[in-house]
Amino acid sequence: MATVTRRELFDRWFKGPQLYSLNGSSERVVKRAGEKALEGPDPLLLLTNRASFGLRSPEFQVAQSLGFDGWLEAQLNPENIDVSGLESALNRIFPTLAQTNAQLIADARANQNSFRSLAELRYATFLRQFYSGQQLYEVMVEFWSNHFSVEHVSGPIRQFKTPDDRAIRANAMGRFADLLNANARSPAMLYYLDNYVNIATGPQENYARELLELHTLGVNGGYTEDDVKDVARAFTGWTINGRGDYEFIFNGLAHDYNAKQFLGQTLPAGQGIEDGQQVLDILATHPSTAQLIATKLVRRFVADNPPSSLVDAVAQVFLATGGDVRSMLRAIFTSAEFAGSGDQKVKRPAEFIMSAMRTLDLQFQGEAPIRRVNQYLEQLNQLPFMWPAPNGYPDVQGYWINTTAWLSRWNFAFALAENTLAPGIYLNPLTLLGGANKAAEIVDVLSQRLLRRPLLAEDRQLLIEFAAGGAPLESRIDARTLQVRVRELTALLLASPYFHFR
Amino acid sequence: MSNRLSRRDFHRLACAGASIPLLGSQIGWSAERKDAANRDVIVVVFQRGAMDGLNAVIPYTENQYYSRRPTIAVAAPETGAEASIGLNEQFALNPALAPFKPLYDAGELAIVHAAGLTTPSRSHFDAQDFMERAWLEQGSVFDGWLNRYVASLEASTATFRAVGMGTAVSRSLSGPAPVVGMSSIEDFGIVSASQRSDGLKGLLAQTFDGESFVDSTGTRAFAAVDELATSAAITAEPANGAVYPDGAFGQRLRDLAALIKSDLGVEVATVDIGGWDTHNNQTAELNPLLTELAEGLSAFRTDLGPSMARVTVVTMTEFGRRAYENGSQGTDHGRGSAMFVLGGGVVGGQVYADWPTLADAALDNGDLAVTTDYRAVLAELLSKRGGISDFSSIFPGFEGNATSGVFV
Repeated sequence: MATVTRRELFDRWFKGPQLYSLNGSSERVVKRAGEKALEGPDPLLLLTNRASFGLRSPEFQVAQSLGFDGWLEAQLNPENIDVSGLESALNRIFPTLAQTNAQLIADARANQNSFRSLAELRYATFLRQFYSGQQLYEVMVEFWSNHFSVEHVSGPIRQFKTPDDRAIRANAMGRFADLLNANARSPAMLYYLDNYVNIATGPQENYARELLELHTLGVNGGYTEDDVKDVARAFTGWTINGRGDYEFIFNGLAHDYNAKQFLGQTLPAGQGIEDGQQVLDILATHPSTAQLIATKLVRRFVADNPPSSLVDAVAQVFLATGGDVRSMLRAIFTSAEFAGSGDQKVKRPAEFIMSAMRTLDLQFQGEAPIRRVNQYLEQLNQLPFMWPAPNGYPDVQGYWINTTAWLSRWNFAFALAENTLAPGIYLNPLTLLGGANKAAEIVDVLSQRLLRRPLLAEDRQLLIEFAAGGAPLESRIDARTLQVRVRELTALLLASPYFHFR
Repeated sequence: MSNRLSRRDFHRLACAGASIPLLGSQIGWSAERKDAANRDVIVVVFQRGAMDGLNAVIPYTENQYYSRRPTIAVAAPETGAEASIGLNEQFALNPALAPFKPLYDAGELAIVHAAGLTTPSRSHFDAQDFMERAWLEQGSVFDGWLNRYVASLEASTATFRAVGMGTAVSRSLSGPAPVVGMSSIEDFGIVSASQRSDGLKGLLAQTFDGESFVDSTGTRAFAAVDELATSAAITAEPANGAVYPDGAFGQRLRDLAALIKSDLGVEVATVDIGGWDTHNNQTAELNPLLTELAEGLSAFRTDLGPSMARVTVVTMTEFGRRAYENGSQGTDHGRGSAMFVLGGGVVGGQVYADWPTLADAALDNGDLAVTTDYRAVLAELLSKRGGISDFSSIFPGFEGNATSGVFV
């Protein structure tokens, strides 16, 4: 057994907080074995799968006409993609989306319903992922929501998460320093990691530790236990104005004005809010932060075990651009490592659910489909903002793929194709077919429509035989049977391994 | 497995319209199954978030315990309504753990105190990962210790030999040896309204006919559904009047007990319970969790009845919490914590501890020190219950001995 140094182990497996990786193997085996090796997706398909929640048919046609670079640039500039119709509808249906912390708290009290804002934000998140043309932007909102993970469940976080989400959305394609500064002042985070009760007479380390470990430097980013303690003291007094507007406030009375040391730098005695700000400024431009953010982005978009060549390159972009998200994304998607990463990422539950419905170009009528999506994501354990720890949902297949997860995914695929998912979401099977009506034709049309790539020859043959149902392969299938066949094959394709890679 | 229908054969049958159970499990393994059904079972409960061992199992004779925790300390036994429950001259149970007391008195429950990782880490995520992989500084060990234990056992055809209860499989059980993940028995099936659903499922199984992790887990899902359907009657109804607490932890223990009581051949299982990161207003958070833990394990024991003799439960948590309370009636990340060990082969009714004390000089950077390597407890468990004598692959680099005395 080869001996590996501790540093190498970290480099290979543990950089960043998301520790699950594929069991045992240093190479992910994602292609089906041996003679059945599947040709990878073409570059545009790879890009659109990775940078979206699954494109709808018309969206994919637009992507084909724009080409790889054109579609990437369009998605990197979401402000040029009009979502005003969606946003005004959401704000009309879900009035809490635009409310301040004070309004949210007051309304929750007045209506004795503290869950309204939680449900509205969660449903709006589903609907944005499902309907928005700014797909990469929504992917990045999910990424940063997860990076600055707040469990959307207890106490006033049910209210505070709504403005917290707005702050993430405002900066999701912007600069890391802006995300970090907004988050350090977000009542949701101040409450979740207890900094609102971090006081000079009894400092507490919860936020300080996770700020260093999860938000910026990473667990091996070069800080010590003493750094954690002094950062906790630096953030004493960073709290929530509980008697006023429920916004961030610096309470000088609770602040520790003694000098502190952080990463070898002195936070001089007598500083107030400047202490925490100095820490944030150091962190926002620190090479370890660049490394952590680059690792997580590359893991998100390229591979569970991020190739260090690309991580280093993206970290350099971080340092050179002041943590500019667009620049880092551009570097990732145009890299050789990305181009060679086909079939190396498995869809997480939310990506599977959304992409199944989006690929079929389905619409929601009423609330029932949203409730059903909620139910499946609860079963599959990936509701928005509901990971129970501050490190966010894992981003590797070893965590998400197991027997029980497959059963839930298959049941979703079957229910969707068989129109038993929920009232208000309806698949009209014949719209998928064009004029195809022979077994081989319908298999080819459906696999192209749903997977956008060819099946393995052996699988294709099995599906054709199944579609023929014992009749001669060349015979025309009547319209009624055709409906049944489309449902069966749609269920099969969505449930098969093909559809679960992105 | 040569005595099974190949998936290809199965597919042909299914397409021809024959109605047969999925993947042909009807072909004989019942004898093996009966054998497997009598094997010992190891259940590992992971308390994610770091349980405050000092407020769970209280060193009530130490003044420093009370001086360091002026607002959250649990009172000594027999000092009033919220007093702790005495175990011996040194330790007492948090009253929220009251369901453990009869098990302790009956000699079925042991406690190991000041236990934990010998490698200091106060990061939840690092410490959990170190612990679950039993990873040391040198060595290329990536999978979980329980998975390596499964891999070391004699070959078995029992799909349910290793079960991770929950929506995801715990890291300790993840690895190359096959594992079933199960959220609940109730949801463990494939539902299709299609008239040709058998053929459809058979064909779907065929598409998982590769060698990747995706393929192997998908294939195992079909086998597990099939095996569950053909096993001896499984009932989620607990036996012996056992009442599990509400919530996922109780439900998963209940379903695990049902699997163990059937003939599925469970030998290893994991169950998680989260929420132990009590930085703020600790008592209100910790006590309900302690009760859920104790009620859950107590119900599990009652439910299993005499079968508990072959089932051993051990709890783990990534670290304990600081000896001092913080300024918000909570505790920050610490070092040593407590493990609960219950069931078959346990020499219970004792608190095992090389107690370091809470004196200034004895603290590890302000925390209860770790004086018992958690691997010593697990190694003895595997030695006495699993017949393992060589720990070099399961706990690489572990040089302690496996004679903690907790197990016979």
